Amino acid sequence: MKQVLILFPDTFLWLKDNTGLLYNAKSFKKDGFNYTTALRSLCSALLFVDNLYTIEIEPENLTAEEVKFVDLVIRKKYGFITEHPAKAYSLPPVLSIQNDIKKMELNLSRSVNENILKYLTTLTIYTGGRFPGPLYYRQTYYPFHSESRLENSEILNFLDHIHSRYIKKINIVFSRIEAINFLISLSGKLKAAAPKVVYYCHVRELSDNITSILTQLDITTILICEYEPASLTALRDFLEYHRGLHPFEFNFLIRSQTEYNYWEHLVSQYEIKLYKYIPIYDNNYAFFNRFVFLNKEDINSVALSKRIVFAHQSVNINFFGELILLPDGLVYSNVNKPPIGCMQDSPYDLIKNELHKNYAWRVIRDQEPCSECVYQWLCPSPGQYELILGKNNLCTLK
Amino acid sequence: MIFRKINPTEIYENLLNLKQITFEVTDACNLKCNYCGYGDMYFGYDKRESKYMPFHQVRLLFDYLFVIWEKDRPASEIPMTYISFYGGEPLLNMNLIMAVVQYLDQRHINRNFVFSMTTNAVLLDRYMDYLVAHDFHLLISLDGDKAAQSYRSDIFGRNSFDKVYKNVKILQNLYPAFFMNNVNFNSVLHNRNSVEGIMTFMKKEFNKRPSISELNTSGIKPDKLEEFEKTFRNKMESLMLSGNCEKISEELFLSDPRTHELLLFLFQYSGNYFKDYNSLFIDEENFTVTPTGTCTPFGKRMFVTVNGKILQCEKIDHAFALGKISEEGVLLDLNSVTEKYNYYLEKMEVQCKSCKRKKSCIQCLYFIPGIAKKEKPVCPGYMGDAAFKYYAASCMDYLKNHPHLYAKIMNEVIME
Repeated sequence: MKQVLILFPDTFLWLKDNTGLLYNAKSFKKDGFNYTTALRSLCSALLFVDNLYTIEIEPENLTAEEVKFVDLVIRKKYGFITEHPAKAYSLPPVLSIQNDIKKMELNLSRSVNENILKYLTTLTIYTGGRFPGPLYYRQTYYPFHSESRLENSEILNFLDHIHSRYIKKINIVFSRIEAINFLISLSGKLKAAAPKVVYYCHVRELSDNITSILTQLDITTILICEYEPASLTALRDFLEYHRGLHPFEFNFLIRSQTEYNYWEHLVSQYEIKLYKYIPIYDNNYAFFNRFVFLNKEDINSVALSKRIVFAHQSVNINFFGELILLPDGLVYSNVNKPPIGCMQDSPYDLIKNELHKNYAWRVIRDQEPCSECVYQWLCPSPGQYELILGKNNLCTLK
Repeated sequence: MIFRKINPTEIYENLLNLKQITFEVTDACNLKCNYCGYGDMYFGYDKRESKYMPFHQVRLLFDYLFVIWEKDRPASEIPMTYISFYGGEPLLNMNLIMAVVQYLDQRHINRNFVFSMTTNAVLLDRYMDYLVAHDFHLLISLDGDKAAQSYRSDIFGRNSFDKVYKNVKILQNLYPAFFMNNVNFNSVLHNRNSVEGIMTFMKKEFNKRPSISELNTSGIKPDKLEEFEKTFRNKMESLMLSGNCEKISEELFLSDPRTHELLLFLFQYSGNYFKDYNSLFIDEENFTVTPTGTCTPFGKRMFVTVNGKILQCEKIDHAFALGKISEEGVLLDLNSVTEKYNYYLEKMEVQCKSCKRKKSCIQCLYFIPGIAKKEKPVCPGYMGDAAFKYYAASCMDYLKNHPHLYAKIMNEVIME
């Protein structure tokens, strides 16, 4: 007797070479299977959009492998079977973004440049100044070493020049904080320019004066904490002084298991609530391979909504919407790529350049080996580590 | 899902990114169509007094908008704003239209202005050279063949078809490229035409696919109800009665009410639709929804009546004016507009919260009976569980029978 097999709208069916994956974005269940020749016709029919995730089957005529697949679909609730074809339909997860750049390019009456200022939501400004040390700014918010630094007026001129009502967040990454007045006058104007302002300050830069000013500014301040003697002393002093009352948040940089253990102990000892661990690559491939790269178990524990899967398929959720100004006056969408313009350029030109060159905002896992992997869209968007390490995937699967 | 109110900043941003300004350049008309929204059958508009909008009124509005447009950056580098002329019959006030075009040409505003007009084409032969020279986009009102056009008559009751048809043909012959790219038709459906008849006529005569609209169902005078019902035809019913319904439906695409309904359903309930890239970053639980399906003020357009009233759309009752252009200038207090709009939203919020169709609501609050009065208005579009299930099932049944529409809607359609 004819029956209809239907996949639920939250089910993704991904096929690569000889591997298949069923993923349900509601239950977060996932099951891999061998995508053998025997399953090709059935799976292709399911993925043909006009079939609306439904196919007629005759159980008595199915091959053993097809029976196994259908059983998996039903048993793990990726879909169901009905004997009433008239009521059988589903909506396969076909993503529709109205202002999708490729879609707009094909539409002669529209322009890809429509409403693009809305995309720019975050500005990150590296003030610069002397801060000899590693180039960790290429991996995370970290002081940028330069002989000259951006003057207060240059930062404010840049913000005036960008002049967008759609900026939601401004990050200021300090190298040297030389003048207290500079900090005070800058803060008031920054708060007027965006709903959220975040200061990144290396813990070594803290002094009693600066700490006192920063705590009074009503601006989120994140202390960059590095495992090296001067920083540790400064941090200990700070934590002792502010015991139980931590006005700032903390980014703990980690290059090894030892460093991780140290920070973990510190967090517990001083009851630190707002903190992040940031892995840093510094010729420590073994550490990355063991603790940062995703393994099968990590990927199996992934629980992404349909929206996040769609986001992974179309934008880079780490980078989208952010432009970065370095002290040399050049503007980047990704500090590991060439600049997309300079601080005198109009924000529209900067955004258009990024949309055209795609150094960051729409960099997705569409390169090998990720493009050959069924977990392609379950993995996080590519970040800086891939560029630093010179490999497209950060996993142990491929 | 979170219900929200609007705020003055949002209205300001709508003005900054204003997509269309429609001027009712005159309330005079050289036709007297039986079913006209400004005619005997309806209420809800200022008395027609054969007025002509003066240029200084338009200039005051532009001067007001120029300040906003020059002060802040719009979302698009060079936004496109349609300047639309509406009536009455706009060709009766060509002096004003020419003055507006000249004024905008002379001002160096960082904006692309596209001129458009809804016209009955009776005077088209006189002004077509100018309209072509300034790249106007024309929406010509023509209900089909001579019999279909018979409600569109002049003040002596004479059918306008011969004159309109002749003028349109002249335009088509003299300016074929303009005709192909810039001219569209709108046909009103009534008891003397049909969807199939209109489509066939337009295709054969002009190789065009017209937009087809029903008679306005709001603001009908009680004593004209009988006449309205006699004249009114439902687009869906008319489509279903046609011999090659499926073919016409395919041609109509989103103008087929069922396909349009399906689009709304898919966009709001599939979980696969996102307005832009930024929407991908908002969790569905944090999506905010404004009660009812009303556009935010000036989110789509601004309408200015011949009396200087500023409304958010030409379709709504003039009593809902949000501002005014007076001799002194533009009176548009964004705080007061916000308060007024939110007051109406609040009235509907309780019903909206329990309505199952709230995500794909198309009910404009200005068309909810009693919305402006003290009484509790009842939303005609409200859907309970059973009604919504029926609605969803009918959308999905339609999709099941037209499965190719899924990929077409999701991959090809770009909304306004």
